[in-house]
Amino acid sequence: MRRSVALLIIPTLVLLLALVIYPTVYLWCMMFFSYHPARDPYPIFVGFKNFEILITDSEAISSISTMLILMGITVPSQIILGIILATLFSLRGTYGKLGLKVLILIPMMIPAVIIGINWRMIFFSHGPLNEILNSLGIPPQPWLSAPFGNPSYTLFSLAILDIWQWTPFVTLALISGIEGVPKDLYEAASLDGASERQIFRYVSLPMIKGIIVIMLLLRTIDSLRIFDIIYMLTYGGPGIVTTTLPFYIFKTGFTLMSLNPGYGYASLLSLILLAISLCISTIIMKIIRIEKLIWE
Amino acid sequence: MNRNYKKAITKVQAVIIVIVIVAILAAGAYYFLMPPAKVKIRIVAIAHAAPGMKAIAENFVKDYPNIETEVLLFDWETGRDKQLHEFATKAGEYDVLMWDCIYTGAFAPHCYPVDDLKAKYPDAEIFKDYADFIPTIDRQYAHWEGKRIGYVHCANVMSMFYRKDLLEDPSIQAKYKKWVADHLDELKALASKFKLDPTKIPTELTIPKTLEDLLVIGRFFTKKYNPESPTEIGNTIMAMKTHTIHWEYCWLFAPWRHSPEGMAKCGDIVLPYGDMFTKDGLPAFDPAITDMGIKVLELFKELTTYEPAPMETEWSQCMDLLGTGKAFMWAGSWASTFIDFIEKAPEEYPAIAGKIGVAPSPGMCVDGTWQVGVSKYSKHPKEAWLYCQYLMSKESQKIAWEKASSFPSRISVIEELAPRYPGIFKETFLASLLKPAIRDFVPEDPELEDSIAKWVTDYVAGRVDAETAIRELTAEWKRILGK
Repeated sequence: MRRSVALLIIPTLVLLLALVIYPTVYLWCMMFFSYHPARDPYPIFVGFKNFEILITDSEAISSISTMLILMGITVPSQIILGIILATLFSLRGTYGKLGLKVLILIPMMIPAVIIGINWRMIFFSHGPLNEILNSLGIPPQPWLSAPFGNPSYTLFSLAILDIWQWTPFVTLALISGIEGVPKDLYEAASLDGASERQIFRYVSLPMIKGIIVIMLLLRTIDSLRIFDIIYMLTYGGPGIVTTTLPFYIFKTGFTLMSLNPGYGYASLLSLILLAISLCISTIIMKIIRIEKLIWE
Repeated sequence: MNRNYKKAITKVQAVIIVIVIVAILAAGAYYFLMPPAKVKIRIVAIAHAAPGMKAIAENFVKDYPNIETEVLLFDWETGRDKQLHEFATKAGEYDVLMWDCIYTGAFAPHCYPVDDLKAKYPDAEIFKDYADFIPTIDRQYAHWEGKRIGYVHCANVMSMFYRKDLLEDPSIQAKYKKWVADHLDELKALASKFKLDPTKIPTELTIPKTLEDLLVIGRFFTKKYNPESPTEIGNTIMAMKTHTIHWEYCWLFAPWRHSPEGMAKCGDIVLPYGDMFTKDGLPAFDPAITDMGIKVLELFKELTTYEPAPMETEWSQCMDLLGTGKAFMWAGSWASTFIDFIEKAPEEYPAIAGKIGVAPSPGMCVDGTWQVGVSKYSKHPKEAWLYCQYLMSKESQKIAWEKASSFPSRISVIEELAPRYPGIFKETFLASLLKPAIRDFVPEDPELEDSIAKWVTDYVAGRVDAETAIRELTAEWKRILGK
């Protein structure tokens, strides 16, 4: 029995070794090398030189802060909006719940490239967004370069798109959570004279707390990897305003169009991204444990 | 009974695993060891040149039935990136490479020298008319360190496409004269601000030839500056953070660089550095050498005010803005858009069909040729070389022009096609190619492009002032080049 189990695991182990372990180990090793595919015949060992470059690379530091700012805008917004929408969808008086659920699935189902093209048209100077603003007497804005005269606000344009795309995911998860709350809890609360608001606060919310935390964790990890919408809409510009760490890794390791192009430095940046993701995930997990301690 | 059953299942599992492994090994052996019936070559075809190369490949396989071709269509950025990474793996993913002239230095070490191909496959030499190539571009971009590394397939050059119907309209000409007269002092001050010649302000509406013409005529046709303008946008220009910033800046800087002052301060223009460098290979726009680098940047920003969202405008937007009649001209376009605005305009842009004129870009025209060569890592270099040479035949060059407006690189083909396009083929495209503005084509060009795109867009977005942008750009370029 044990022999047959071992034999059956071998193909999986081989795949794991080839597709996960080997690339990871290679990545860890590459950060001590320098390798530009067009110029170097092979990787050259440079020791800690990539680390020295990182310390003085202002674009890398800026990309990390941009990534964290984008995460700080999109994740709380998605969670809060998700809770609001899930609550509205779950109210007794809401009609057409099935249809609404299907509608909110649409952003998640559209491929990223199509989303990029569509929103480029929406944000365009003569696009529908500016036409609506114009009709309200607000001057049209260059949403992808300097909305309201400030290039930094371009990050908010990207955040709007990300929130539009992923709030439905959070909403659906929370809807299922709310619908999973036992009905007798609501009945008991109603019998005790609780209002809708009190039922939501003291019954629904605590019961879906676990799902909220999981969504927080998942969306945080995902938001640290935002790349496609930046590539489609702004290509990291204007300047480096919307260049996040994943995009900077892409530029450094894939397009080789950065001040320090090459696989070695890109590998180090990838590991920095991994470290940041792990740190943030660990902090969130610690918070979960703290919550459990409080409630216990 | 149970033990026997379990033993049987274990044996069956073991047999299944063995069968699967053997099947995988057999399939692999068949794939790798069985000789293919035909040789298949993979050809990189980028952007606008792609339709022409595909059509030529279809003819090629008819003439060489033992060769199969797979033409891989890539956009500008993807094609470049994929080929650069192929150099790392050396997998021979692509047999025929294609590169923009600015990547000649980056691609050269990975191209199979043509002389080596001639020596190794003498029976495969089907093209010998090297003297028929436009000598300047052939020397610059198809050679590296004295060796021929490929062939110029598309001799692209900057060109201006403009609304000739509006330009030739007597009522608009009269309005232009009056508008210039009413705003002359303001226009002279504007020209002086960018160190252009205020005495060269065009008082008659003509085809823009100089940067002064571009500045003033573009302004006239911009509704923001002239409410009576028949178009909303005087000149469409790309200011999105892409590689286009590099050649647009070179385009505006080149007239000064070629001027007596530019030559005196920066010396001769040497290759592979080009117009944006001094003869010593240092950035010519360095504020320590001249303030023209700053002025050119300011001029670029001024030109971006002629359209509403320049930082969101890239190639396809420029095409649409001119094609739908919103823009008066696209002064910084390329010969390859001839097919869209002229030949196929009735289908693609009916609003402006028959109304578009072609002229050299005002100031100087940057060249942007496309080359093909055989990859050093190709498993079928002989067949790949055959295709590259086939692309250079007169027939193929004509097809490339007709399908994709890939301007021919052979003088005899240009002479043959010229009568069909009077005033355009030789007088505009060829004339521009023979006196071009040249960008650098050093191996570090991708980094240089990214650097200039970053600083120029930072300035246009208002994050830094012009002097800081140029100073930082200079420092970065020096760092990239190790100077």
